[in-house]
Amino acid sequence: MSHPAFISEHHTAHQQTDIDVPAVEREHLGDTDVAEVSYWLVDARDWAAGQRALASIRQNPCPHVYLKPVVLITADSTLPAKVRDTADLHVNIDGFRGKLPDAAEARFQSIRNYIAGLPDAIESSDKTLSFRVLRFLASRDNALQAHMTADHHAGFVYPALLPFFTEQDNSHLQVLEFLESQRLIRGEFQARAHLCRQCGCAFLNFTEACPDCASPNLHVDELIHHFRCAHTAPMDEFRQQGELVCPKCDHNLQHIGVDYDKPSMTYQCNSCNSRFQDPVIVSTCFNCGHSAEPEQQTHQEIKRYNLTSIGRNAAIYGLDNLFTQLLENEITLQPFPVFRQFLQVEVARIKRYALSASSLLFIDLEDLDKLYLSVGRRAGEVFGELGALFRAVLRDSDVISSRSESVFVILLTETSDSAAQIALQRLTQGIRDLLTANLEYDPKIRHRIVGVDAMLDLDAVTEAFLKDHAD
Amino acid sequence: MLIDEIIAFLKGLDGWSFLAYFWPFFLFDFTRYVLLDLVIIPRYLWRRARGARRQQAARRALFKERPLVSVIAPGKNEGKHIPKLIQSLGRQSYRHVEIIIVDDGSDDDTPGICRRLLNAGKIDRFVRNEIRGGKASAANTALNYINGAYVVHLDADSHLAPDAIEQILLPFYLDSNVGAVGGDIRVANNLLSFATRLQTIEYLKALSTGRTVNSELDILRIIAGAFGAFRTDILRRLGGWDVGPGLDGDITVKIRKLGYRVVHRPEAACYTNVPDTFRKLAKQRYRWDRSMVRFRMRKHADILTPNANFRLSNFLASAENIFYNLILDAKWWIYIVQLSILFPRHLPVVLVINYLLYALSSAIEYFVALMLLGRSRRPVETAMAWYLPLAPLYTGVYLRTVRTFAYLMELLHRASYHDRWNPWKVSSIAKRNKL
Repeated sequence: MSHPAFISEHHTAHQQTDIDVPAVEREHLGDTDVAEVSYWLVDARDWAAGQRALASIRQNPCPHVYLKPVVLITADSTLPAKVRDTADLHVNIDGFRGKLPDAAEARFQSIRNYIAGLPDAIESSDKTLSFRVLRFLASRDNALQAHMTADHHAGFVYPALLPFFTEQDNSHLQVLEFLESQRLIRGEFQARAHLCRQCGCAFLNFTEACPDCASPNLHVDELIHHFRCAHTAPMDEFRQQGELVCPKCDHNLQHIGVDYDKPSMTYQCNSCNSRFQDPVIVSTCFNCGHSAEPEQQTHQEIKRYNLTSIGRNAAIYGLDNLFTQLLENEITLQPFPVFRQFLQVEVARIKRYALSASSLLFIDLEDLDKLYLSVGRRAGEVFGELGALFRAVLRDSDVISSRSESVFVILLTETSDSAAQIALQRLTQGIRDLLTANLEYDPKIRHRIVGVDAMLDLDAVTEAFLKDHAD
Repeated sequence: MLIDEIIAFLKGLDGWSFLAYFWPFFLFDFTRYVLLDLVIIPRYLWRRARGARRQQAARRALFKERPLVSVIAPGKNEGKHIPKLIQSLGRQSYRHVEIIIVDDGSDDDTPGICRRLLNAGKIDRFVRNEIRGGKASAANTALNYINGAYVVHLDADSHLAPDAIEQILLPFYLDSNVGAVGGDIRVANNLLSFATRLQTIEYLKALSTGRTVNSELDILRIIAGAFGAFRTDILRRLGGWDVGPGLDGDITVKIRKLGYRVVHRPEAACYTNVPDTFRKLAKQRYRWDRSMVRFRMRKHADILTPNANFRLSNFLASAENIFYNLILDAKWWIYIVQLSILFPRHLPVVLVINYLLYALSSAIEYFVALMLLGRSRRPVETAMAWYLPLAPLYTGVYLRTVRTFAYLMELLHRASYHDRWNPWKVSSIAKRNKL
């Protein structure tokens, strides 16, 4: 029978509450029968102690410990967001008798189901941080949102990930970057921020400054246009004993819109007397003092992250079993920008000599996700074989890159359309033989061959191929 | 045959009857425009050649002193013209300039174009007035941002010859009493249409030659807004430009009233885009011609009356303008009536002879202008000679009709106060205060 477990720094803390939940000291997490724990109830009446307890849960390598839902129990109804969002739920100690809201209970159950479905949950010890984070994201199955914060150097954090790390620095951002680069998670735009180009700090002081001498000592005034005589000057020049009097024609200005208007603002630098309408904006870092125009600072896109289907599978079977990872061992998989450069050179070469032909081959191994799920742990072996097949069919002069875990684009140099058809035939036949013979699995393979010429637009052709897939 | 008829008619005339038939031409137009051109322009060229050393000394003084010159270009929706203008400013022989563009409430992509130029360092200041205030207010806005000792006012749809800034500054160094200098406005879009071709001839005659003659006679009454240079201290003393239309003529008169000389510099060439259809041209001239009545006859009527500030040259500048443009405008209609009543039988022959006389005088004025332009004339300007036979039709019929209508509308209805060229709020104030 599963039950929650109360975590606190000291045993005595539990005795001061009316909560009828077995207590575990933070130091003795490992001694508990973790599989029986339904969620961790963390004593956060002292925020700092609560954070320490939460960190010891998330930093534990056992999936039954670090993936389990965490409920913060607090004495304060206004818990800061930076603390609140680090856990799955927070409750007030007053009136809490161990019963969670139904929605939370349902959410926690789905997390527990996920942990139970892991092939290695009990005996596994997930040592790499990136893998633990990936599994955590897969178990929550929600978009991971960034939160603005004044407590962190970068100005934004992903609070749920902070307890995974001992140092509260940029580590969790680097792990997310890595997972995205591996196409295990997909980032999409959430916000944009200016960061200091020198130290990455998000805390910048934006000030208006003189474009001529950079002094921030400016006087701002409204420009007045007197309709009668067309005199146009700062309002200061019209002020005379509490009234507005035109210095050019000596007439009193009575009504705005009738005998005068204010067409624009004007600045005057108190340091160099220069007058201008658009001051420059200077941003100065609170951390290192570096000053620059905002355009010169780092423009950081802040993303929200979702798991990709590859990431979901990798979270179950491990990062080592990814096809692209294995293919990398057999042949050199070029990053797409590098591939684009190779192609540009090839296009230029063909245009220059007009003697030979090259081809682009797109291959999409559809349902690769299903293959992961059906072969489970053996995916590594199967993909190793597939990688060997790619190496056998392709030549050293061919260049290969991947657009996703299942879509590959191959530049077949000095290969006409008909020769490319032969290579494609050998590759698809080889894949079919391998998977059908060994796994009785009939793969769906989509492909397209495109001739390389001066008019070729790689991005457009790739997008068209991917779009066909999406349709 | 008409030619035989003309020859027979001319043979039958003695000196006085010849004058009686063609008095408008010989008494007024020929003397004022052809004879004066033929006397003044060669004199100007001769003096210029003789004064080469003085010119060199002035040039040396200019480059030694190297004053900052503020180039201002106020306007609305002129963004598309600005890059070409800036390009021509970048090629100037005199380079110590600051460029200030004032956007008078544009509602097109002018702000974007100008900000890009500002960011690229091609202009020094870009000032935008969100609310349109009219040309004078936009130019006066620029005065708040200038640092130069001289202000060069440009129309945004113009561009300059490579030595234009240098040339327009030299008169300040030739005579310390010069308060403002007018540049030589020439047509940029010569070949765009029939209308622009005829305006090319007109600009050469009326602006290049006409203003040089007026300048030599010290009766120059207008510094064109398209290209004019002013001493900054004088502009500040005057509080800048007054409400237009016709603000360029107005400020010229105000500078003259302060006792400064205003001169024309034919060597300072500025190329501007002129209206490409006769309809657009008529609208432009309708605006220009009304300002003659509004400013010379009303606002600055004091110039014509004896008072403490009376100056003969100012009187002549204004009086000549009123006499030759307004009063003599009526002369043609009188002349036609006179011919119809007194010599109805000879009317066609007299009109044809008049046409030939005016075509001939146009040709003389045109060639004098080409002589004045010297090396700075372009082949396209020389090629306009083919259109000279049409010049009397253009100036004598088309422009005269527009001008007569403009004068009547301004005299009877003060039509300039309803011109959309100014925002309505500015026009209504100007009308109420009889400005």
